[in-house]
Order: sequence, then C-alpha cells, then structure tokens
Amino acid sequence: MRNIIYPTIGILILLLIWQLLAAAIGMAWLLPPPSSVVVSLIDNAPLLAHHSLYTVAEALIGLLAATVLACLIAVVMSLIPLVRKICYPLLLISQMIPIIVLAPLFLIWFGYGMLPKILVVVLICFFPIAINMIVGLSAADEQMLLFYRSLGASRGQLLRLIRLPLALPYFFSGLRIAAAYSIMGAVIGEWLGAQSGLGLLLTRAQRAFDLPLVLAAIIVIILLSCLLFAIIKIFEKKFSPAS
Amino acid sequence: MQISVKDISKTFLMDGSTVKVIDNVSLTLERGVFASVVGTSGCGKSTLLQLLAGYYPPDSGRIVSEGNICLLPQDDLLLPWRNVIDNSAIAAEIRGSDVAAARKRAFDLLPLFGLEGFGNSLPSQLSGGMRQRAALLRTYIAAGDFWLLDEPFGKLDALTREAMQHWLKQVWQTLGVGVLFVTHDIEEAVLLSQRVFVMSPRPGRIINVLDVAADINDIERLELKKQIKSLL
Repeated sequence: MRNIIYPTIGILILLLIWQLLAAAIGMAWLLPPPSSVVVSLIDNAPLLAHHSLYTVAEALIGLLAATVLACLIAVVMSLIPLVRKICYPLLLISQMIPIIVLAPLFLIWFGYGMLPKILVVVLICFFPIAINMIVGLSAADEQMLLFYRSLGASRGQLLRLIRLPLALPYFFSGLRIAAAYSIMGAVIGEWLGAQSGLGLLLTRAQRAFDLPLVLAAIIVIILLSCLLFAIIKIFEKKFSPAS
Repeated sequence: MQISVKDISKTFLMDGSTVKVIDNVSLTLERGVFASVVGTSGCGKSTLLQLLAGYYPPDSGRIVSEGNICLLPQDDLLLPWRNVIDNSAIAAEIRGSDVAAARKRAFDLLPLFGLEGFGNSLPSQLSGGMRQRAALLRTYIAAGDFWLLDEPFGKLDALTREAMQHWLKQVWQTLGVGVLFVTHDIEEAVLLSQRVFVMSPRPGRIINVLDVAADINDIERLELKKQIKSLL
C-alpha cells in the first residue's frame, strides 16, 4: 500500500500546481486546467477508445515481433561468436538512427496502414530486449558451464537448462522497458501519417487547437503504457520467481 | 574398480605466458578408498580434480576410469531455481536416462544426506552445510563410484565444518564410494583419509604418498601431520 501512496502524492501535487498555474494565467485555450482535460476525456471517451484500439494493436504486435526477433538474435549471437562480432555493431547502429527520421521513410515504403507503425515499434522495442538478453545469456560463469558440461551437457542443454533460466530476469527487465516504449513507438509512427490511432487524433486535435483533447490523449497514452508495464510485471512474477 | 592416472601434465596459458600447473602426476584410487590430496594454495590441486572430472584433457598422460566420476566444485553450483530433488536429478536429465527413477533415488537418500523434509526447498532456503550436502547428493546421483571433492568445507564455519567432516566419513562408509578429497588443511586430510597424496607447489607433483592406519593413535597422528608439514 505504501508504495502506492507516495507516487499518488506526487501526481496530486503536480495536478494542483497545474490547476493553480492555469487559473493564474487565465487563458484556458492556451493552458487548459486539469478539470477541463478530465471533461474532454469523458466527452471524447468513445473517440479515444476507438483510436486507442489501433494504437494498442500496433504496439502489441510490434512488441511481440520485437521480443521474438530479439530473443532469436540474442541466442544465435551468444552461441556463435562470429555472428556476435558481426551483429553487435549493427545492433548499436540501429539505435543511433533517429526514429523520427526513419518513420517517414517507412511511410513512403509501406504506405499509411498499420505496417509502418508496427515497424517503428519493433525498432524501438527490439534493442532493450536484445541487449538485456545478450547480457543475461553470458551471465553463467565459466566454472558453472564447465561443471555441467562434465556431466555430459551439450551446448543446447547448457542453453536450455542453465543459460536461458539465468537470462530470464534480464529478459524481463528488457521487456519492461520495451513495453513502456511500445505505445510511444506506435504514436510516433501514427503522428507522421495514419488512418487511425492516437497519434492521428493528437495531430488533428492539435491543428484544431483543441488542447484539452491533446492532453486527454496524452493521459490515455500514459495510462496504456502503465497498464502494459503492469501486465509484464505480473508475467515476470509468474515466470521468473527467482528475480 | 579403480581410477588410474598415469603421467599426466597440464600447461595453461596465463597472461601470454605458459604456466605448467600439473607435472607428471600418477596415482590410483580404488573404489571404497578415501584419499586426500594436500598442498598449498595454487599448487594445482583443483586442476588435478578438474582433469579427472573431464573439464579438459591433459596435455600428456592417461586417465583411465572403470567407474563413474563426478566432481563437487568449490562453489556448490546448485541451480537456484531448482529445488533439492530437481538439482540432484539433473545428471539423469542431461544424460537422457530415467529422471523419475533418479528423483526417487534422491528422495530416498534425503535422510542420509541430512536433508529429510527439504526435498522441495530451494538452495537459497538452505544453510551452508545443507547446500554442501545437497550438492554431494547431486554428485552421488550423477556418479555412484568416485567422488572428487574440491575443498568442500572451505567456506563453512569451524563448528559446521567439524560436523560435516564426521558426517562425510559416515556417508562414505555407508555408500562405499571412492573419494579423492582436495584440501590445504593437513588436520582434515589426516582425520578423514586412508591415504594422503602430498603435492608440491606449482608445478604440482605428487612428492609423497602416506598411508593412514585405521587404528592410528594420537601420537602417531601428530607425527604424521609433522611429516606432511615438513614436506610442504
């Protein structure tokens, strides 16, 4: 209970400052107070829900694809040193390209559908999972591997019985970060051109100078990210009790 | 049934230079015998055990074993996410043999290993002495003929250590395995063993083999310890 109290206090203080600031400025169209954001949130609930559906779908598909891809590459890289040497720099480079620049290219190549958004999510989510998995897969110390090899374990058995279980806590910490980013990734993708999604709603609301709706959409994005984060945390408790 | 080691040597590459760790070591160990290897730290005792366990091959010489061998490493290397029974049965899992039978055997042996009622406990829930006994249970399920013990009590406090020494002697007598026990503690070696191999500082050679009589008295034991000390 105590770990809920303190964050709640922080959020309430922030809201209070915001409300006071908005009242002091007195121009609701420039800085709408939290109360009018809440009103907008309620009024536009069906609209927000409709667009959220697309964003969440893109985020989830992208997160899933990134997870599978990252785990596969991490396993191959840790089993074959040559692949590791070749792929590691590429992995880093993939993170140095500003996503915001890459997203319009995806739009040109893959159109206005869900695919380019999913690709942005994959690109953002892939890295934290892959890096954590690579570290996790090399967490087993030499003595441990030598010992279990002396019992007759093959490379595959060492991976399955020792290295993968040891990597599990690392995997989940990567997945948590990726999950928190995934919604944001989908929104960035939609921002630059989409048929549906919270990113599209945000751009439209912004052009219409509907600031309460902009802020309401941002709150929805935060809530969805938190929800995803919490779901991953539950999975982690279930499958990785050692961590 | 015995392990025979003939003229094995091992050289390692360390920081760009070669270091001879084991130099022409020969020994035999019969099943049912408790033998110790005594030497100063860094003399190659652990390497000798690792060679016997098959961690890596010797550069020259031969190791012939007529039975199963398993090493108990200095750190117990129990897998923290597996309970005592699952840790004990891991060798059967690796070798593709009957896992259910191995688990049953491990369960039946829990009382002898002082782990009755702890079969489902995780290693983190056990004391240092219990972890060591659980690791020894894994060793026995993996290999019923020869145990290679690498300073198994080195990290235990003095009281636990003494209790473990008596317990180990009892288990060895019950199970009749061959034990090669590595230690730098002369007292421990003389207390437990029937035979003591004395190893020189690096490069490790066996410089003497001493038999400990079963009916040794305190004065003779003191003499023997003095003799080993003078050799080191």
